[in-house]
Amino acid sequence: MEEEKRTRVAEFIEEVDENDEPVKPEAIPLNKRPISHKLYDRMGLNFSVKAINIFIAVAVGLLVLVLALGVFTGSGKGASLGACLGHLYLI
Amino acid sequence: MEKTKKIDRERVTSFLLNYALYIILVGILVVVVIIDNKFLHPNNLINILQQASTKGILALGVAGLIVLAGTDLSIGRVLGLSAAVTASLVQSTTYASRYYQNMEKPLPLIVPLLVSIGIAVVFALINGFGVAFLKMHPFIITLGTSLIAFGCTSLYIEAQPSGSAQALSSFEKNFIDKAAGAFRIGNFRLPYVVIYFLICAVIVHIIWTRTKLGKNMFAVGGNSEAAAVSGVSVTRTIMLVYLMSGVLYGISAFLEAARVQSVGSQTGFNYEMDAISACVIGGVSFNGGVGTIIGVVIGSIILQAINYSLYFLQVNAYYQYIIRGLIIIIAVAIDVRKYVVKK
Repeated sequence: MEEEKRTRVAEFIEEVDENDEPVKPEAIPLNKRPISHKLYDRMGLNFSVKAINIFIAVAVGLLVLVLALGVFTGSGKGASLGACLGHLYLI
Repeated sequence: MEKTKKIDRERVTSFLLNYALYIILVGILVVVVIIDNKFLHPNNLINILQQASTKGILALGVAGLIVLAGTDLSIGRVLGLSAAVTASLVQSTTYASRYYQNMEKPLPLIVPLLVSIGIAVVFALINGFGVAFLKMHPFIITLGTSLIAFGCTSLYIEAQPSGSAQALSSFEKNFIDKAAGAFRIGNFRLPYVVIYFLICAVIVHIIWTRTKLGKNMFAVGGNSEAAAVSGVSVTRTIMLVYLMSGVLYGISAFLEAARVQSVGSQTGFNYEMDAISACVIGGVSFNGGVGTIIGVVIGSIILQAINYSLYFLQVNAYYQYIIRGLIIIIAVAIDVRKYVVKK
């Protein structure tokens, strides 16, 4: 298993080395997608950064949503504002 | 031209992602002020500072451990135990159900303070020993000591001579005045605890930036193997940082007992979450080797301001848990992003 992995990585790196420019993720056939993040990093693909960007954006969106829900459904002044907004929406 | 636009867009995206949390947190505060401008009343701001102070001192302690790429889950329970013992030592001598019935004169305040620090230091050194010498994961050993501390607190509170398992209260006036009092100039009131917090922050800042221990701490946190090869004693550094955190927990427990004025077995519950969150919000990296005390202080105040504003708007407590959890996750994700980009 280990040997097979090593061969795959070696083949893959060989293929990458033949190209002058960094390979784009889309250009890599599915069955030859990098085995580890380290390989991605070596190729300068920044896969991790993109994934984290999406994660942060989703988490921020969720936070804003929960905050809005929390404020508008609470029992403080935000709730009356929420009720008012809801009323306007209904009209 | 197009390339410049692309670079600018990337910069803006990167800026928004790196500072997403601060933008949201400031946004929350602005919305709170718009909804109810009484939030900016000086008394509210002083309350936020006062509440941020004891947890801020805890954050100063755990920040060093996070710089070492570790953590401490026992903070809250160790604080609870230290605060319980402090409370039993500062109970009023005229109180019939006091813990130490034979104590006829109040102890000098330095005694309960040293006892509180001593208890916290013992737990911190056990954690430090496990991490430094036994190579145990900080998460596991501190989880274990957290349970031990909680058990000890519950037993101690249950062992009251009155037979009651009620929270310890009725403290000496001198204790309350010195630990939870405030400077008053006219209508202006500045709690002593805020001053104690700032003093602790300045001392820890000096240790971090001006001493050999501070430099070694960052070296070990950044790359412990490289530090060891360079001649830094990794185990000694880890033990000293744990010792420092223990001292800070002890001080915080002493002040917290005075602030809440009633110490039960649940005192300190979940405080570790606030302390660790304050560090992460303040830019202390969980990957180790990165962090500033100014960041921790600002993180503590921002976190408390958010907690306070959610209470102020009477947001449902369950929503508050979700919001705080998301804030921590976003802070850590931003930290990881910075690390990956740098690599």
